[in-house]
Amino acid sequence: MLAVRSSHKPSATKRIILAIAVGALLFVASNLIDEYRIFQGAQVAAYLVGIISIVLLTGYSGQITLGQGAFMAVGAYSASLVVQEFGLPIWASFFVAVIAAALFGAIIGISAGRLSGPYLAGATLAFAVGIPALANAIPILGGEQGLSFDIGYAPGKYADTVSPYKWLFWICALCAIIAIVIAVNLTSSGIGRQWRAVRAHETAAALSGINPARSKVLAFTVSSGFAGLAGVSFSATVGLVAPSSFTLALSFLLLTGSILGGISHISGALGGALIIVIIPTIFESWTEEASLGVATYLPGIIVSALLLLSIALAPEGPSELLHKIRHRHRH
Amino acid sequence: MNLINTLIAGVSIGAIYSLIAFALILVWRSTRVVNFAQAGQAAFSTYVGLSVEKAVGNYWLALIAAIIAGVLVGAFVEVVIVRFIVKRATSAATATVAPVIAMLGLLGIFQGLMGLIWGGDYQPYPTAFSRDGISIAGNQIPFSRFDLFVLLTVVVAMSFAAVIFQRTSLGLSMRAAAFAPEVTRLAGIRVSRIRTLGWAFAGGAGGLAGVLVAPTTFIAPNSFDLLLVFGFTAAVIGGLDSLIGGVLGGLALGIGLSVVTGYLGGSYTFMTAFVLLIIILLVRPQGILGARGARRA
Amino acid sequence: MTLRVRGLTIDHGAIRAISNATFNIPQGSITAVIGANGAGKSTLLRTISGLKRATSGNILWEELELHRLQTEQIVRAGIVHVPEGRSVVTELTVAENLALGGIWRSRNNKSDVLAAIAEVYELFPRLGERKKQRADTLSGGERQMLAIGRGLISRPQLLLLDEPSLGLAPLVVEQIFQTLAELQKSTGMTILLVEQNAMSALRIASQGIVLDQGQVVIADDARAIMNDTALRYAYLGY
Repeated sequence: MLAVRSSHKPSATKRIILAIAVGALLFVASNLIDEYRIFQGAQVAAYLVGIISIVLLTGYSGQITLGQGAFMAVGAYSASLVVQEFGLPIWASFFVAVIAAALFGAIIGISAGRLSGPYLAGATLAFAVGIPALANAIPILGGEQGLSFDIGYAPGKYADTVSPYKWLFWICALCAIIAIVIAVNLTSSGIGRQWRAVRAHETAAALSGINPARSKVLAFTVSSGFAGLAGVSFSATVGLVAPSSFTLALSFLLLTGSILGGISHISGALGGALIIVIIPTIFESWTEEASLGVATYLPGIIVSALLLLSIALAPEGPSELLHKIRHRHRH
Repeated sequence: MNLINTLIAGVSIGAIYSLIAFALILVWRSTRVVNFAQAGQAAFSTYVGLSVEKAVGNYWLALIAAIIAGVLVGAFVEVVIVRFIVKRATSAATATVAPVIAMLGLLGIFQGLMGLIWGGDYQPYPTAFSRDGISIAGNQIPFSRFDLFVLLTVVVAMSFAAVIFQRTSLGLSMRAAAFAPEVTRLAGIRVSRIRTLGWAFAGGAGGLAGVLVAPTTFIAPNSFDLLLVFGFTAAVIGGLDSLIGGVLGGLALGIGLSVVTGYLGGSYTFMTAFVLLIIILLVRPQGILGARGARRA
Repeated sequence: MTLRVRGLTIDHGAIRAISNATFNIPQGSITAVIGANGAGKSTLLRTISGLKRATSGNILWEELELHRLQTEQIVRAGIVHVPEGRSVVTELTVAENLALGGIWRSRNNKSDVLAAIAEVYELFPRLGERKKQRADTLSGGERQMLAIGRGLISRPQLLLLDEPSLGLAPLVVEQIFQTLAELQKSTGMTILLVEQNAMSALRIASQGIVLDQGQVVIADDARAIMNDTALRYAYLGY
C-alpha cells in the first residue's frame, strides 16, 4: 500500500518487491494474533479485492455499478462448478473464476458501456437482484443450498500445524496482494490514464484518439475479473457458494466501502475494506448486553449514514476531506 | 391455462408497478435523481400502516396512515437530505454517481431503522377483501376481489393525479418545473417548494403501493427491493420522463411477466424483466411509449 | 422606481464577468445594454434577477436589496427577466406558458391575470391563433413573443430582456422592437434591454450602457452613443 501513497512513482519491479515484503509481514503477523482475527483478516482481504473492482470501474472509468455482487457470484459459481464437476484443483478454480467473470463482464460491458448515470445504475441494480435469483432457479447450481466450496487444509506436512483459518487467510491475502499489484500497475499505465480521460471528458478523450466505448468495455471486463477473484475469495471464507451470499446487500456494502475508503484511488480500498469489517465488530462487542436488534441493525445504519455524509462532505473520499481541512487551516 | 386468464392475472400487479414507476418518474422529473430509496420509503410507510392496523384494527385507517406517512417521509427526505446532497455533489469525479450512492445510503438507513423498530421478520399484511379468484359462470378466474380493489384504487389514484397535473395551477407548476426549472423560477414560482411537493406525492404513491402489494409479498425491511427493480423497469419502458408512459409501462410489464410466468414458469420472470430492461435501454432509450426527448444522464 | 446598481462585481469561477459596475436605470426608460459577445451582458441580467449571486456590490430597487433576495421574491417585487434563447417551456402549450406567468398572483388577482393574458393575445395576435399548440411547434419569432408575453403576465414594473433579436429574421426583430416601444409608452414600465444588435436596440432606447470586458465604459443618452462614430467604432465595431 505504501507504494501507492508515495508521491514518486516506483517501478513495477519495486512494487512487486514491496508486495512480497508486505506479504511476509502479514505471514509473520498471522502467527501472532488469534483465530477469529485471522478469519476477519481473510474477510478484509476478500472485500478488498471486491472494492478494487469497484474503484477501477467507478473511480477510474466513471461507470457506476450497483451490482458488483453479481459478478462475484459468476466467479464463485464457476469456480465451484469446475471443482465439483470437472475435479479441477482449488488453485486452478481461482483462475477459472477470474476468466469466467471477466468474459461475463465483457459481454455486459458491451451493452452497459452505452448507458450512463441512473440508467447504468438501474441496469446493474437489476443485475444484482437477478443473478442470485437466476442461480437459484438453475438446478446444477444447487438452488437455495448452493454449492460447497472448500479450500481444505494446507498441503502435506503443514496440514497439522497450520490452522484452517490461517490457511484461508494466507490464500485470501495472497489474492489481495496480487490484485493490488496488478491494479496499481494497471492504473498507473496508459490504460488507467485512458480510463480517467474518458471519465473526465468523453468527447475530449475521443478527439485525442481514445476509443471511449472500447475503453469502457475494457474497464468493465477488468473490473469483473477482479470481482470474480473477490467472489471466489469470499466464497472461501463462507465455505459455500449460494444465492444468499450474493445479495443486494453485499453489492451495497462493497460500494459503501469503496466510497468510504475513497473511490478515486486504489489506495482507498484497504481502508474501505477495514471499515466495513470493523464497524459491525465494534458494535457486536458494544451491544452484547443490548437487544439483538440493535446489534443487527445499528451497524448498517451507521455505515449508511457514513456513506451519506461522505458523499455530501467528501465525495472523493477521506483524503479529500483531510486536504480540505488542511487547506482551511492555512487560510 | 388460457391466455385471457394469464393476462388478467397480471393486471393488478401491473397496476402496483405503475404506482412505483409513477413515484420514480415524479422524483426524476423534479430532481433528476432516481430515488432508489423509494423501496425503503414505501416499506417504512407500509409498516406505519401495519402498526395502525394492529392498534386500531381498521384497514382503511391504516391505508390512509400509510399514504400520509409516505407523503411526510418523501417531503422530509427531500428537504433534509436530497437538497443538501444535490447542492454539494456538483463537481468532482463522482458528480454523476453521487446522487445514486446517496440514495442507496438512504435506503440503508431506512432498512436499518425498520429493522430496529419492527424487526427483520416477514410479517403478513391484512386485506380488506377476499383473495380467492372471482367465479364467473362457475369458472374461477385468477382475479380476486382484492385484485379488483387494487386495480380500482390505482385507477382512482392515477385519475386524481391526472386531474391535478392537467387541471390545476399546482400541476402546471410541477410540469413546468420538471422541464424548465429556471424559466419556472423566473415566472415567480417557488420551484424548491414544488420539488418538495413532488417528493411528497411520490412518497404517498409509494406508501399506497406498499399497502397494496404487502398482502402478496409480506412486509420486511427489504421486501420491496424487487418491486423497486420492476418499478424502475416500468419507468424505463415509459421513458422515465413521462408519467403516463410509466403507468402504461407498469401495466404492460405486469401483464407481460404474467404471460411469461404462465407459459414458461416462475423462474423466468425476473430474467425476462431484466432482459427487457437492457433491451429497452439499448434500443429505445427514450422508452417504448415516450415519443420524444433525449436520454439525459 | 429606479434600479440602482452600485459597485457590482460578478465572478464566473475564476473569471471576472462584471467589474465594479455602477449605473442607474430610471423609471419609464428603455435602457439598452450593448457590447460584444462575452462582455458580461447576460451575467448582469442573471444577477439582477437573482439567478446568479454577485461577488460584491449592491443592486437596489428603491429600498429593496435585490442582491439578497431569491428569484421568486424578485419577480414578486415587479422585476421580470426574459432570458436569452426564447425561453419558454417547450413541453407546454402557448396558453399554459402564459398561465405560468400568472400563477404566483392568481390567488389574489385572478381577474387581472386573465386580463393580462387577453392583452398579450391582443399584442401578439399570432399567439392567440396558437393557444392550444405546444410551444415547440412555434417558430423562433413566435417563441420569443411567447417568452415576452409570459413575462408581461406578471405585470412587471421592470422588464429585463436578454437578446430578444437573437437568431430572428430582421423583419421579425423590427416587429418585436416596435411592439416593445409601444408597450413601454402605453404602460410606462421600465425596460432593460441587453442586445448585440446595437443599432436596433439604441433606436428604441432612451439610454445606452456600453459594456466592454466586464466594465461599464459609457453610460449616456442613446442618441449620443449612436452619433458618436469614434465610440461606435471602438466598442461596437462599425
